Amino acid sequence: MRGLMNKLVSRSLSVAGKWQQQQLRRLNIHEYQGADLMNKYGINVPKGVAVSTIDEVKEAVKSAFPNENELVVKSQILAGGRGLGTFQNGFKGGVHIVKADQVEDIAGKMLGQILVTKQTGPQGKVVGKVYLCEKLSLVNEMYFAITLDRKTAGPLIIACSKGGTSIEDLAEKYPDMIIKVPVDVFKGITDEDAARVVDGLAPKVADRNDSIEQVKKLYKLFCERDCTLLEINPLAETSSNQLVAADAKLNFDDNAAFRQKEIFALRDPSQEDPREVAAAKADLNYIGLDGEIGCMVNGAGLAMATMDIIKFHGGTPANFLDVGGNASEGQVVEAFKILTSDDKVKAILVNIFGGIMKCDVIASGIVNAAKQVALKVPVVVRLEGTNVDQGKRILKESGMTLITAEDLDDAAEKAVKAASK
Amino acid sequence: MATGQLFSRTTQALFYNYKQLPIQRMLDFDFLCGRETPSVAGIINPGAEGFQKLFFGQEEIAIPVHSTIEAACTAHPTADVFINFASFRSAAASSMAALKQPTIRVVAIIAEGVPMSDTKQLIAYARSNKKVVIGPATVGGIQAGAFKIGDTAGTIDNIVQCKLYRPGSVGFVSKSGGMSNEMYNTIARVTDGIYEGIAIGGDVFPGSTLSDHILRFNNIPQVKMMVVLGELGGRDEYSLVEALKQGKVNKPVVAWVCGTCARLFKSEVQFGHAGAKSGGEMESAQGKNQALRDAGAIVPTSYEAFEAMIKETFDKLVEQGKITPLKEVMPPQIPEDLNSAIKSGKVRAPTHIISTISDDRGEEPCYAGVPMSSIVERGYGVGDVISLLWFKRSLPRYCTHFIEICIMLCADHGPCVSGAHNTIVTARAGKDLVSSLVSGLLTIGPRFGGAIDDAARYFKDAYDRGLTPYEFVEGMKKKGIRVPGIGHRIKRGDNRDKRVELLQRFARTHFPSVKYMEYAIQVETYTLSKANNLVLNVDGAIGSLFLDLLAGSGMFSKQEIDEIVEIGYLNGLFVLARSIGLIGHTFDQKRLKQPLYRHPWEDVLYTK
Repeated sequence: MRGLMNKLVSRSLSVAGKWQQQQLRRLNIHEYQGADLMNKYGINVPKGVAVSTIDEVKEAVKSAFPNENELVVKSQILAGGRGLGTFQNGFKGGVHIVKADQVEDIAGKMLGQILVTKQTGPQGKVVGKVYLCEKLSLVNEMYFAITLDRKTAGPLIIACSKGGTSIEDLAEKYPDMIIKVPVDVFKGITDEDAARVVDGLAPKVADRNDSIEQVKKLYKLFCERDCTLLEINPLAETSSNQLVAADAKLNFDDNAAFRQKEIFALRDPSQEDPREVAAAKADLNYIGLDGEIGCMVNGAGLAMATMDIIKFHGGTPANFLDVGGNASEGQVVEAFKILTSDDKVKAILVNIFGGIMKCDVIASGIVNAAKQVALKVPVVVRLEGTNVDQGKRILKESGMTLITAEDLDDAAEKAVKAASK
Repeated sequence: MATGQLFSRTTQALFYNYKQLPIQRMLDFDFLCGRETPSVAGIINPGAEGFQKLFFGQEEIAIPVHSTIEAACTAHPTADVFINFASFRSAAASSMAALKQPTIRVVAIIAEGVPMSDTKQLIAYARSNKKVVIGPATVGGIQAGAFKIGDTAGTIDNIVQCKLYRPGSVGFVSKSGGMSNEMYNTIARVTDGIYEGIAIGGDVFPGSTLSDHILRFNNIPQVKMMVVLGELGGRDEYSLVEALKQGKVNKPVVAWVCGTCARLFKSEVQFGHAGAKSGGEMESAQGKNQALRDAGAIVPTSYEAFEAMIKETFDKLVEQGKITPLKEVMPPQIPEDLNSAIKSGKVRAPTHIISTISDDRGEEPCYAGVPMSSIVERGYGVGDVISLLWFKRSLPRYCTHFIEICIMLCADHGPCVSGAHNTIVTARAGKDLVSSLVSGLLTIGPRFGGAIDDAARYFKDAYDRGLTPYEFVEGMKKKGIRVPGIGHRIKRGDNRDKRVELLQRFARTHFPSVKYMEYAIQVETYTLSKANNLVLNVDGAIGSLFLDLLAGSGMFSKQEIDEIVEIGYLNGLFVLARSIGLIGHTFDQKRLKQPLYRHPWEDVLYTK
């Protein structure tokens, strides 16, 4: 798809990429939102308008693109693979290049429809907006990225005079053309830094000083908005000698949400998994997966180990769920609700190591939760740690049909067996 | 980054943002290890100063609280570890301030969710100044038998079970704090235990890395083998791979990278820890396990075989004579907190207070067993509440009505009486409500409003002994006691106190018996014959009528009546009632913005 698009059109921004899966509390923003943000920072982006109704489409074509013969019409969903996706109404392709008078017709087939791509899963995602963009003619494509670097403990700018394909491909084909410019985390970007980047990009037609300014603006956006990755690929030159961010990936630091209110307000809950939205409300760390064993574990590390062992015994976890080291009874109840609402779940595995928490507290939490939630599937419980004997006794005396396990391995084995019944 | 020991048995820390529990856990650990000094030298609580009381073994100690990092570092120059319990919003700023202090060597950041660009600055600063950052998003770390950061290793029971009160031979490092607890347990089972364990935290860019600590462990002679628990995502484990390949590590390393299940999922998934995100083959758990194995680490085929591998490695070291089995010590018992001991039924302690009139422990407060809601629903009045709280029973409506009338009649008696006057003077001196109220109340006594109890006592005694009014009054006179409840400064026999009349009329209508009242009237008749101002005053009326209420209602035993009169319940009525008026006078003066009161000279007789 990338190759095809490359030849046909200059791609504009695709902020939604393959790295943007449904992830807990991980901000994804739509392509048009990313373009808008870059535009605010004075970075050249292809001209575009996001619309959500046919009337808006008509209006946009008339007022924003009066002289364009062709426009690019792009479905806005938070998943990659849009070009090759299919709508549930049968319409093929989430991205189209069409004559200006067909825009209305094509946009009408996208708006409000469900687009299924290889990344959305069979349930697809609803297209609330389409993004109409100008079609550019490009004369040169380069690669530009800013990321946080482990080695230099600061931002690192990566530039390559070739672009358009993935950085991995570029690194393989043109290792000598890639330059890396570390930026001092305390000083920020200097004119020399920016000049070195531009020299690495080696633009053919764009003005050098303008290009230096564009690099500095990109760095400014990266820092001020707490980005963890800003990748412009391609950073292109147009036939009108302009440097344009033709396609961009923007990742934001979730930890900075508290001071990036404006950015995080762009979150679109219509694109998120309802189970994860519910979990987030209960302050649970939950990620929906496709397996049959629901997991409830305290601690992210233990949760990972638990999933590994389930897999080792031939099962598949239905989720990642970390109730935290200090879960309240309320959270345990919420966790059970989310697990039991998932039809795919055939067995539940509770794995708790009472390090800071005490097992008896957890056990009574489980018993009370089970009273409130109708349990339709077998529950395997493994408790270890502080007050484990009291905890086990509470479970036993509750009269619940729980399967208790001796250790993690035993628990996983029992859960897999219970799920396959 | 330091190259060897970070902590010792004398290491002391400064604790930022006071949290009672983790500090107490650190001090309990200290006691368990037999440390002589507490591991927390000072607490920094922005904006607060003073001391915090905490237990060090059986004794309480006072740990100084400072309002700034600078002040704490100056006061405790030997404390070189900074434990930061600030929120994710402020953790970076306070950590940077701590790193800049020359006395601080190690900063542990507990908060999860510190912005990456901020962490980057901390790492850059620590690196160029040879300091160590542990975290963010970590529980911390522990050097067995020496020093523990915050909540590391959980409860004391867990620490005892994991034998963390004395050093073993294993250096352990992981990303996850929860998993460290699990691993401490495992390691204690199959080896001689942990020497030092560090959780570097789940962030993408931890302040110090797995390999930083492994290289450090390699330089610590007491550490004979290392255990590493990594997880998918990031490339941190590869710096360890490099170190192993370059031969920088010459002690056995048993390693496992969690997250092998991630392959099951087509999409990228981030597992709780910010850094635990699968991203390409290099960052997968399988990829890292293989790379570690290839570099010479001992890597099991699955997590469940991890324990066996650790045991095998340890046993081999023992066989080779590199580890000599250590002598076990019994750690002292941490004195249990009284509250938890009582809760678990292990000890009993005498209570220091007993209360029988009200109880606020249930869903709603109860007055003498009657819940608040029924008091409201049944339309009870103040008299009923008084009967519940003072007499611990529900009195018939005519009784509670009588109490209410007493209160209404005694609520105030103008500004000139001593109580109101005192209150007015105090209020005008600019004092607050409570001061003004009590300065008025303090005048209540034998000469002002405090005669109800005495009146009741003497009338009761005289009546019960069958004394005639003549015998009673003359007997009192002989003893030199004025008859309480008789006499008024203004009221006369031909100008009775209206209040007395109202009370007596009510009692005649509603009380089953008014024998004490009748007796008081007989006494009054006699005293009036002696002087016109010796009328039955309001104290005497209430006193005598209350005797009728107690005796006539049938709700009190003789003993109880004696006790009520003895304790002095009845003055309570006056105190309660007059408080209403005194509060009113206070408000009145404040509302009128009256200036300081000064008594005029002309009104004072100056004499020698």
